[in-house]
Amino acid sequence: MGAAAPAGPAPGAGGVPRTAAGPLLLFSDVTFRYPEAATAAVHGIDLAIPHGAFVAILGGNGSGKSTLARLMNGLLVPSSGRVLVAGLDTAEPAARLQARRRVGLVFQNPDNQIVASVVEDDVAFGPENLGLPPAEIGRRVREALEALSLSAEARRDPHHLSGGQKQRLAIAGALAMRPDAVCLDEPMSSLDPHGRAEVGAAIADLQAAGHAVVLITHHAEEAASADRVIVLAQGAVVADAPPRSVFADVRRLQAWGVEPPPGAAAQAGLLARGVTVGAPCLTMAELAAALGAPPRRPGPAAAGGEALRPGPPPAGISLRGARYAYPDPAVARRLRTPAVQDLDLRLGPGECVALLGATGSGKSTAALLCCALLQPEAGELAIDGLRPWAQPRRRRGPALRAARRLAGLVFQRPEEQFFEERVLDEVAFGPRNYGAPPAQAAALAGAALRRAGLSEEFEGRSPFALSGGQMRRVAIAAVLAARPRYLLLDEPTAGLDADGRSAVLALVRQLRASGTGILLITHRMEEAAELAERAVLMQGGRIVAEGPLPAIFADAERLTACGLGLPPAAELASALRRRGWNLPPDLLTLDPVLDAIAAAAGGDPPRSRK
Amino acid sequence: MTLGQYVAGNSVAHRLDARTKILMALAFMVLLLVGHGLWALGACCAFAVAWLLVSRVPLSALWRSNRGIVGLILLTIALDVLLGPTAPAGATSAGWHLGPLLITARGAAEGLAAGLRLGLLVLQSALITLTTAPLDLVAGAERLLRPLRRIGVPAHELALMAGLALRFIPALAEEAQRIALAQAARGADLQAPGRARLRALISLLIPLLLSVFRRADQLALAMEARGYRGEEGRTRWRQPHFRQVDAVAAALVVALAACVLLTSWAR
Repeated sequence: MGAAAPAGPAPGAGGVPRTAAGPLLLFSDVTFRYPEAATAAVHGIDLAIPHGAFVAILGGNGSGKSTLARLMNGLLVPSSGRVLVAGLDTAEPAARLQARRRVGLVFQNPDNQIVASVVEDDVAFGPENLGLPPAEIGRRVREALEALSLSAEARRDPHHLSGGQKQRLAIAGALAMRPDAVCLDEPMSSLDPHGRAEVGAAIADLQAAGHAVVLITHHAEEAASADRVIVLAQGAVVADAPPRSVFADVRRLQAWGVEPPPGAAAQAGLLARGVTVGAPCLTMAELAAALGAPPRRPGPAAAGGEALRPGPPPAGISLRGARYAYPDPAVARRLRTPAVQDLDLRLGPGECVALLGATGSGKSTAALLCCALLQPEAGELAIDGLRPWAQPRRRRGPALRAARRLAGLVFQRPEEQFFEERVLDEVAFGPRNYGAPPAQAAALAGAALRRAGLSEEFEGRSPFALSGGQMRRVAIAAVLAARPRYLLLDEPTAGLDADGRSAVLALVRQLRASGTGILLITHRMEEAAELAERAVLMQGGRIVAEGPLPAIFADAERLTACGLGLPPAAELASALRRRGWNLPPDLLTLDPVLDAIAAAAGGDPPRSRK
Repeated sequence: MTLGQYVAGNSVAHRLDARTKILMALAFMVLLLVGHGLWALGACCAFAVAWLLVSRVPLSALWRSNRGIVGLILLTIALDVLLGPTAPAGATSAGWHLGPLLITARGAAEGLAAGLRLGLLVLQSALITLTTAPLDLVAGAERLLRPLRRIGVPAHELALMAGLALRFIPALAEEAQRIALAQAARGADLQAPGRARLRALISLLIPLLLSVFRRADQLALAMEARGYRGEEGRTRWRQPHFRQVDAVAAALVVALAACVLLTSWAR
């Protein structure tokens, strides 16, 4: 087991017994280069994964994680070196079916790995390929559906399942082949928090049932329960150790493009403030437990509650009493369940409002209504006094275009809408649609790219050949190029690794500072806490709460009812308060929380780290 | 969005093997076209109505999925009645004059018969799609085509293609709508004149095509990861079985055939 591990104890530590038959998966000096690629995607990989182990593989975008997954069951065959699955060399064509049976692979996007239009038929696909007799297939289908708690959905169309259910279905499909190991390639990155929790529980069950699990991710948090964490950077293994020792060095993780777990990040911040906590922590709850009871010294008296901000000025986006139901030919118009109703939303100039809610709560529909892309069945939209839907139908066109130009919407995963060959043309599409002559459109596009932090060097490149974070910034620039006064961002950091995410957040921060009104839809409460001054909470198509962020986050019960949680920093603060710490109220972001802890613990005086 | 018109149920018509239903439909179609005369048409009519009653399909569903074609049937009748065969020369019972048009009893009868045939054709194909899940139909067709593999008909691949298309059409339709909205947010206007419209169209089609390729790529990989190697060495979980109901249905079709052929050719 000669793993190239510069850090941490020997691989396999974590109490996993090795079977006499040798490791389940053995990589020896594996290098893989895609045809026509200049550099190898992975190189010099030495790995051994025993039966029953739970291994997490971490790395930023382009670190070679997915390539590694595909090498594990013979989908890819090493350019040099060997991969053995239960002793069988995947380079042998005859061994490949065995390798695929033994190592089940689950991919990121559940939609694109489901084959059949009926849940149970999809689970049967793998066993059918193994040539099993029908009775045995039926047994395995039942078994796999039961293991993933999908028995009740057996006859449904996968298209109508939730994201978490779909991903569980994909796992059931792998499980029905009775594999020794299940390898999951970013199984949670396209899911909402609820779906993540579902899939996380399913992974724990797999592990408990004795399967080896290989979890590939760029979220350190998801890897916290693994026996062992392997970090890949630029195609090579840079760390292979138990999670606690890998996650202790937050700086190093960030340099590898991996987002550190919140507990470890907060712990590092405390250390910088002179507060040392003994054992390495991964979650905020662990950190609160490690901090324990407050020191005797009484902390400073809690500051008074913040005065309510004055209401937004009359200019801005204003949606009043809006209702919208998606068309469904099977249901009469009056009987359709509205996606949103009684919706009152305001976004003032220069204001940043977070729109929060679980999947299906109507956030995206609200955004589409706010920028005049959907016509409300009832209610009224005004953007800086312009009421596009109030115009008579014949004169509506120009008003709609003006409204859409004022309120630019960046869709979820906007890079999927790219279609030009050059970045500059992609970004100039908006201004050209709004009638700018080519030269002026190009100038506007260039300016938008600069604002998004992308230099001239990017203009001639293909938008499809960029990193995830760069693509996302190009997509935001493509909306900025039309010079909107309001920007609506639907999950702007979804699916990005740590580097991409921080670049996009920096851009949003800068836009906010320059006076663009921003409506931010996000699942990540820390993003809302850091960027927005006001939040709107949606549930079941209605607004259930609205107000300054501290007020929204003060009602933890309501948040839970809406399927949301606290930002990690607020979670830490409230856990410490329960332990008797006297921390000022309304702490939502990490730095103030850490400053307050340091002050209360008698470490360095509170200071800003920048 | 749901595709197809399948209405789940557990009637006799639902329980029939898909292969039986496909063969019944083919036989019915042939008999409808081959048979002539009142008796033959009446027998077909009775058969279709019986099928409708047995399948217990809600009439509202039937109407919703076929209302578009009613106009076509009425048009056929009207054209046949108005422009159909005129009365033989010298006949005295000329019929009604309607401007330059002449309506004869025979023309009217033939028009109605043609309309009825078309209506029955639509009815029976609707009854099949309403009582059979699309995938079962595909699997049934695959089984029926299997003997033709020897002459090079790729039955398995065709069925796989049809099945995957059924699976992905709703997702792609949703995606197309989303892309259209996203490009509209960037000012694309499909109603714009000239080149702007072309540009808007391109901005919609290219991302959709790219998405199809991306999905195809990932799906192929996922299928391979689940051990798919084509038809070789593959078994099927769902083994269709001909049961008693299938035998009864087959007997009824044979009876209908006898009825139609005898009444049509006995004269």
